[in-house]
Amino acid sequence: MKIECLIDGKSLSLALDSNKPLSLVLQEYLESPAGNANCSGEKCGRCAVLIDNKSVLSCMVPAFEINGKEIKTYESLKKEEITSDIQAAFRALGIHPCPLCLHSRVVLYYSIIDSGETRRDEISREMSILKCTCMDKEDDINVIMKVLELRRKRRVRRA
Amino acid sequence: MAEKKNLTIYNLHFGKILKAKKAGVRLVGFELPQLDNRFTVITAKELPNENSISFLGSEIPIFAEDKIDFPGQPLLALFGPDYESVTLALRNIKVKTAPLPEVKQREESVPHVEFCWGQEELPKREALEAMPHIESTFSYDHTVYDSDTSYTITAWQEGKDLNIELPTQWPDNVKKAAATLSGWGENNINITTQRWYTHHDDYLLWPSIYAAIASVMVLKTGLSVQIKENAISAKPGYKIKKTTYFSQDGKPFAENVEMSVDQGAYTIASTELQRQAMTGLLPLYSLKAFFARIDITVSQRMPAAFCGSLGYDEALAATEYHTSRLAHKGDMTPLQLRDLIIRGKTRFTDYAAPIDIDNLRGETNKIAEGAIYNRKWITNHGQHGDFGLVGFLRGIGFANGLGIAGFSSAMAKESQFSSMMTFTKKHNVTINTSVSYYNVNTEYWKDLVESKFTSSEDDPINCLLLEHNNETLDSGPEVLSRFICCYPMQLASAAKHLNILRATEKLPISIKYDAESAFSPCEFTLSGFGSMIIEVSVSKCDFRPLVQEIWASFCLSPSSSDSYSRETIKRNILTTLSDAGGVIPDDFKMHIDFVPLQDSSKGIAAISASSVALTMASFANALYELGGQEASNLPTSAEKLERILGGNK
Repeated sequence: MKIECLIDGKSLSLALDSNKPLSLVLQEYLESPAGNANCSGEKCGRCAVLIDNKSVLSCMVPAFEINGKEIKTYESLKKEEITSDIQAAFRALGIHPCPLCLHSRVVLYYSIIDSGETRRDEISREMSILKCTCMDKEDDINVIMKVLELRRKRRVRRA
Repeated sequence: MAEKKNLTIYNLHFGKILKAKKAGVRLVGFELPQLDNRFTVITAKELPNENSISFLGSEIPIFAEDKIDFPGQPLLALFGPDYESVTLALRNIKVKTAPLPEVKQREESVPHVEFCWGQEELPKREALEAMPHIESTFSYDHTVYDSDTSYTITAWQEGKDLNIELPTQWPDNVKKAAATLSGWGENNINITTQRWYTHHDDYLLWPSIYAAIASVMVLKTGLSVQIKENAISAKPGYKIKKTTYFSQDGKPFAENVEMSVDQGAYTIASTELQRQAMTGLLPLYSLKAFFARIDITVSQRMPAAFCGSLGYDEALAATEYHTSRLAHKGDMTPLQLRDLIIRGKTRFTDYAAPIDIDNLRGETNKIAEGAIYNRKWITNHGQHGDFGLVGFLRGIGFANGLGIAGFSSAMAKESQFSSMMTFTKKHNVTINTSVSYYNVNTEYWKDLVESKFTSSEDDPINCLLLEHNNETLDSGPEVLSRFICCYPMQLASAAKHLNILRATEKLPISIKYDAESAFSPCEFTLSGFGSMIIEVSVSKCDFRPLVQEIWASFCLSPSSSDSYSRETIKRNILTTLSDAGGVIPDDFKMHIDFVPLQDSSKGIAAISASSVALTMASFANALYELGGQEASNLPTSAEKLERILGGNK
């Protein structure tokens, strides 16, 4: 099947098996670390990407579903301002997420912040998809709140 | 270091490993599907040299040859034009096996080790058995961890050189393994290490095996190859039975310990394991006589290569678990008992030098007050007693103990490390070392070195850590990394020395310093301590062991920045709990108190050496309170607790 999509700003035309998971596509064609998580569909949560700005687990998305869609991985998010805000929040709170889940965690934070969600239980529910033991849910909530605080302060300064 | 040539999916050959599903059977042969000339199969028969690699003194077979030793053992490697076709072809390979005529018990390959003092004071066995005694068994089953992370091993030839790129905790072993199996000269093998991170020791043994297979494939076909596999590791199984005998006045008189370690199909670094475990078995309370025996056994399970611990953690956890059982029988809270026994200095033994433990009591009391430990313990204790009407299935576990810093003196002497610090003409300090510093906060090292030099704003000192040297033996596991723990101390000392020399000597000036700490007369230096309380409740819906709250206090010498140390402790606790079957609910709370220990003259304890042990011990103690001995066997699970508690409650 011929699939055309936009991955990290690159327009790609790929000839693929339509059932191939997006995680494998990312790993084989783009050598993206998002594809390194290989839980065989057990939802470890470490392969999150954004499809049209909504976070999904790339191992659960068959290739035919990405046709005509825009996919963003951590590689493109790291150039955006929000990622530097997230890094600043990590530093401010003294949190060091492990490299195994960092990319996925940033993608999920981006998705939550982008959707404007601030309810603690909703953030906790969204983040529960990530099953890495390096941080607890309270840390996730604190990071997101810190990012929102940093952004608010910047907006006030600009105003 | 070799530059990676332009390898793409169009000029690489892709490999997957066929692994055994069942162990303890005879391997008769393979029934291969029709494969065209794009595919290549490598089995034990195709190897140019002996079918094994050397790993810490043990010979580990690459492929199963006559008999399958453990599930997951490589049977053959299949290489093809892409991973999908290789995976599909692998599914069609039939493995022909036959039952073994009789299961022969393998001989003990590692002699057991015994350690004792005061044996002459022990009465005869019959008399000893007649004395009042308390027995407990701490067990942790052999576990295989699949980290759900795939990694690749790429090998290609350039002229006479073989290049291998992979994530590994031990590059030198990869080189030796590839040289042994393929016959390539060690000097012609270049290893490029990819960045890796793991909660367990996934990149210690298996990358060496896969790299050796890839090197044979390159030798055979001359093609560039890539193998993709999931990162896996195994933790040994432990069973530690402790019996304490009491004298007429009710004081502990003697202790007998029997420890059995199931290392899987092959024994790896067993003598080091015995040394570490023995150190952890020594109790903090005083005894007239002590006897311990450690047996290493082999089984049809995946060989366990370290997995973050070589026995000290589990042994210390067993000691703490037993101490809580002593309190239980003595109608004291575990905290009250520890308050009585933690005094003065520990005993001098071949395994550990004495250490003052008075400070441990203060730290312990601090967290116990925060957790309202005694009151909760008494309340929980009542749920099983005569006054318990409704089982509310809660437990609060306590543990405290001392830390060690990595390998024993005997093991560390076998490895050679080098480090050199240079003060350049541009007033930069460069550090070139063979010590592995993956997963270490090197910023702390740089800040430490820069702080030891006298500098001004006009003339700032910049510290640079040079690219990693391949001749590295030190493995990644923090708990074993004696060097990572002691390294900051040596860096500081070398920087001070270089700061004096730069004023008098011509620049650039370099000094070499020993990356190994001074060897003490004992195998290990005890240093730093920690205390932990874990509160666990069982979910009333599905019997999951929910970890409600954790109070921990650690007093360790800083080997990294405070925030990084605190995070490392937190990560170790959460990972250990998750491995042990604990479930972290949404309303989980954790209170960590980290106190940097300024006196590091007696060595630095690895953070994980104590945090992992105390987590296991306090979790097991909490489980014991809510479900008794059987519930405290680790790792636990909802099914296990339902079976134990469901009938009674």
